[in-house]
Amino acid sequence: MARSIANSVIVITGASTGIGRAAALQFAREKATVVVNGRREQVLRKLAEECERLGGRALAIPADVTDQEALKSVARQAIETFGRIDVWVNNAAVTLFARVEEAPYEAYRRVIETNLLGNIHGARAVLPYFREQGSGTLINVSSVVGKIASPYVSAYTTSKFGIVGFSKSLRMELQDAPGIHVCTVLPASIDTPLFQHAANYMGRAIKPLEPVYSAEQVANAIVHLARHPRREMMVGNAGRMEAFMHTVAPGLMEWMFARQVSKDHFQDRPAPESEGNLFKPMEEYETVSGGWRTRQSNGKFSGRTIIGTVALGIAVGWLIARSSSKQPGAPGRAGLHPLPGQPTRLSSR
Amino acid sequence: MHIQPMPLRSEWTRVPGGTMHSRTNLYSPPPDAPVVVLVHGMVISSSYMVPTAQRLASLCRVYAPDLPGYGQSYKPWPILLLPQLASALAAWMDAIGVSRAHLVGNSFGCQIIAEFALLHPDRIDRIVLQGPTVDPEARTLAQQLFRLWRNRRLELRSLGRLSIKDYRAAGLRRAWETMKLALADKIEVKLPHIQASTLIVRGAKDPLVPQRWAEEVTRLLPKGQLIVIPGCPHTANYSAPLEFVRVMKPFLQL
Repeated sequence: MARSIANSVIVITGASTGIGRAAALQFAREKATVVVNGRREQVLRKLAEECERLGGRALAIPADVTDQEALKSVARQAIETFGRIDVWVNNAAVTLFARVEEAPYEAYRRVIETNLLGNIHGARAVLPYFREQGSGTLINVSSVVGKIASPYVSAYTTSKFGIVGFSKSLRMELQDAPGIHVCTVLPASIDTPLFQHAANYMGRAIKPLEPVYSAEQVANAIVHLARHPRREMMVGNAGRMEAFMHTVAPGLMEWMFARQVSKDHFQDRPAPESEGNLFKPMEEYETVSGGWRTRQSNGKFSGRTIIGTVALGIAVGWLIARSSSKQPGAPGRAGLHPLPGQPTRLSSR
Repeated sequence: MHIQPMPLRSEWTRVPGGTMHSRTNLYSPPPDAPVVVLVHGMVISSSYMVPTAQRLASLCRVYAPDLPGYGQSYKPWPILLLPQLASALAAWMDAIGVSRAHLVGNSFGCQIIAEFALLHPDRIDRIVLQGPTVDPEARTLAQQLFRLWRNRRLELRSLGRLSIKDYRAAGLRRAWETMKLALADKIEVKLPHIQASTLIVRGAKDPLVPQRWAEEVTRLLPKGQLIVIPGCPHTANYSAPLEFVRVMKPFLQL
């Protein structure tokens, strides 16, 4: 990108906690001008002050991302205050743990409205300005579950798959504007207050799947994308492996991942039903971390489990691919170049 | 509304003393559209206002005159002093039939506007001072030239070529006299008497207008507010015209 981070204006939604907050602080350390958005004005004000102490300039604009007009006003205020927007990070997200048929409809709907429509609202708010400038980078924070699915968080999964698709479509639409980039970030399990914020109708307390990566890692990826935009970027090797596995042996991966989630995504203690921060923010959380990386006692085998699963999966996938290439119908195509995405090609790497 | 560059045309107007050149909308805006007059800086002319004028042309009636002595306007000798420049601007506004306008200036243009605001307060709606000079803490030729030199590499390259053309049109003697005029003027004495609402726009990287001076200007004005454009040098109207128009658009209610 032509402009340095220090000369750029960056808007981040969902900046009160977690990844959004980490990204705001990281951009501020690079002397950028940051516009932080979330639902809580007080928390955002304090964050803006912290950003300015780190050497950046900052402006707090509270708004709910489910409100299209409110987000348009965020974009307009940023433009009227600083003259431009260089990077817009669609980061705000909530989650819901519940079986599809048991989840309260309003809660289910709210997750998709915040995560997916919130993302679309952000893009629709900033794109007219990007077009006017002829440049800009839109960074959409999806998740590894935007590539592979996870049970009991179907609303979240659906919204994150939606973000991946929306970003792809938008990227194609913007081929006439070479200065405008759309990037998708796909973080693995990240240590943020998301799991405390989650609405929960499962009856058991939640914990993130191991291994848990720090929010700063995602923040660094976002800053990197602001400098060097690219289509999609995974954060966390576990996510990379899982997504790879999913491509090699989707059926097997679904089966194994479902078992792992049932076993490792929940704590051994009951939890009352709660709607989390879906409809109103939870005042007690205003940090980057959710404290999950320090709790070593929880699920100490999970990291190993994932690596073992992955190794096993690769082996099985390779066997399947090898046996299928020896089938009687196959030789006719043996001399041809395999089609992209065909299992034979992937397994031979 | 979408801000997009619109074409301009040149206009020559007879005024007492000679002919003045200005640039304005090629396509006539609605008769009730607000009028914005862009006042150029030291020794340069309306040519470096073109990127800003083009973008304003979609929003209002815009004029970018060459003041007497500069660009393609008549060249009086000795050069016009600040009160004379302000009066020449007012006389030109009479000639084109504009009684009141928003005044937008860059650099030395801000000093002319400050003078104009004291002499003809009833002819001003609102004021935009972009990169107002001269910072009293660096009011020597050496300091200003050093700051100009530091600023040069931050601007778009083409600004250099463009200003050489304007300096040649004005002549070296006129350029020298104008610099002395700009340095002798104490804008901080005039600012407290300006009654019009004023927006100060500073480029965050502007070496000629440090943040401290921009804040002091804002404080001295009875109705002043400050906006800082990130990554922008001294000449926002040339090097960051879209950003400049975007920040003044709500202030001028365009």
